[in-house]
Amino acid sequence: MNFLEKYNLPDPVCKYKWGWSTIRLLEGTTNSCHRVKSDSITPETYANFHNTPSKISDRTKMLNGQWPGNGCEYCKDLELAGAKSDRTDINEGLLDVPVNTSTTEVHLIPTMVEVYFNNLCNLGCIYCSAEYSTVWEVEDVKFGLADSHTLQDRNRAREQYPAMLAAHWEWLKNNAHGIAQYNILGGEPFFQPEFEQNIEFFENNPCPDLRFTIFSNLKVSKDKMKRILDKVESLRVRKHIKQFQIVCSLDCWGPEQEYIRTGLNMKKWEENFNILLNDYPNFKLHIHSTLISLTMQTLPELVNKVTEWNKLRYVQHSINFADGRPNMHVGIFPNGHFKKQFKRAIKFTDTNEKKEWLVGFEKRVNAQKYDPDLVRELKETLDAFDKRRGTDWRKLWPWLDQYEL
Amino acid sequence: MDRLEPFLKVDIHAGQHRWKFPKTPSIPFTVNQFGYRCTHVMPPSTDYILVAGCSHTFGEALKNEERYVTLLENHFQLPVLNIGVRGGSPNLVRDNLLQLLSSGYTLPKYMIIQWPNEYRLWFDTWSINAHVPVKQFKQFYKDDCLKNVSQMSYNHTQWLLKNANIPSFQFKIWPSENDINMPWINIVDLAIDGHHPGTITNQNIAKLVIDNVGRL
Repeated sequence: MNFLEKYNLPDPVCKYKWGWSTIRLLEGTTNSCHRVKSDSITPETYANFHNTPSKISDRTKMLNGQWPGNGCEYCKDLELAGAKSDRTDINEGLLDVPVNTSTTEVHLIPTMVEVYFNNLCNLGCIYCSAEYSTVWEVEDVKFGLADSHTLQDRNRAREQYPAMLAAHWEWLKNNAHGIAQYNILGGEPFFQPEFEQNIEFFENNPCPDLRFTIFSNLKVSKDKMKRILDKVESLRVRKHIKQFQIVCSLDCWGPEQEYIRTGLNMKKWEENFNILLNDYPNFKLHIHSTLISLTMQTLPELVNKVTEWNKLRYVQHSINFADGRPNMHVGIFPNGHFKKQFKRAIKFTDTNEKKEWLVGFEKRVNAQKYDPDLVRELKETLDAFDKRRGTDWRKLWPWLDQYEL
Repeated sequence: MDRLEPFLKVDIHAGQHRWKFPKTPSIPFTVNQFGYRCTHVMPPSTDYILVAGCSHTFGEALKNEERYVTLLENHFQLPVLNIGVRGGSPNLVRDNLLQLLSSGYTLPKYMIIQWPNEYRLWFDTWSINAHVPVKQFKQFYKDDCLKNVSQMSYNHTQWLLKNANIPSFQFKIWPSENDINMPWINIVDLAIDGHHPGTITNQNIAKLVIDNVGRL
């Protein structure tokens, strides 16, 4: 049932804002949707992460029928362009998770919790940043990419990390029974001690109603992956968790993807994904793609792959824009520039729902104004990547190399 | 490649090289396809010992047989893979271990780590040593950023080793390399470049390692 109808709530109330909290322990921040501005949290204020002053203020505005801003424009723009948005999707039941609320309550307990423990990662995706990747962190410091304030904040955050982690386990001990959806992102969970500590936590604190999800880049040895996943499957079988989902990050296909997700080996990724497909039939599988202009060339091949995998078993596929990198956005090119790629992707799609998503994305891309300055910036950014990383973008995207400004 | 590379490629100048210093015979050395001074298949499918570190482990300005890594191989009678890198840094030790654990290749029976100076940072095929004045690396970067990244790299490495059940012995050359309490070795002689540990120091390193590792 629609979330708004169920609780008699007005537009633009959003289930994310009501029931969801993302916590970045290393960074010391929280928000109730990854599109919106983050609030700072400390070990002392940790227990109140779902009810920060700005979250309360945003909820109040929404109850009064106002878009709160602070990043909610992402959904507002999509909805104005006639497309589906994250908000409409979650309200219509994308995540079938209860939210404990009433028509007026703004102080709430989250039922969907997403945790970024730390940034230990073995990839340096070009649209990522030091907060989520140690590869980026080293690049940042070495090449002086971050200003001194950012670096000072990062150092402070790192110092308080042990206390933040302790506060998280404490909060979880008291509240895990009420969580319906619990996500771990990274960094790369397969290499993070906290992921295995969390498995241990569910071993000792069964949460039979909890759906457990991790986001992985699948750059992990087969043996290590299976060893950890076998433990999770054991939790599921013994009803210590309700369900396990693995969200595999992949944006497009081929060498283009190996450039974008620097450090990735596509063949190895596919080997590991096939293990998930065949050896773990009870795990939900999900591909999550981040859309930038560079992924458009081989996005259709990925869509086609998902359609093939779907013949074996259901594999969910979601796509979003990398909005933190304006010069990588698909919409900075002239209207219709990626028409052929969208058409091919839609042709390979096997579900109406995904077709609708892709049509909506194309609409939003076309609603954006051509920005030659950002295209120029994109080329400069890629040149800088090549210089630092020893790569060569011009070989992979000759159309962009030849694109005249 | 059918599989992920086992180690990060750290030097593009693979092949035969030679150290030349006045009044001393030149010393030949070979760098393999990944950029390491190691002649073994990397990694072998049999038991092996993995040694990580900086130029002290690479064996700068030393003959192959003078390096502590070779002395360890003779003692333990196991292939010793040397992933010591000239200008190597603590984050490179972590990232190389992360790469090996991601790759699916055979893991070492034992790992020895000579921790490089904590004011170093490695990215791709280039190193930065903050002892050398570099414009953007002022005191703040040195004391806060570099040290911070290096200490976190040390912590990550401990976790990765523990999680993969790889026993290890870890040491440093100078006590000032980092603030971490670990065995260290004093340099009592120098190699022909006049900067790096000489043959007696390398024998002392080998003895320190052997005494601490025991039987394998």
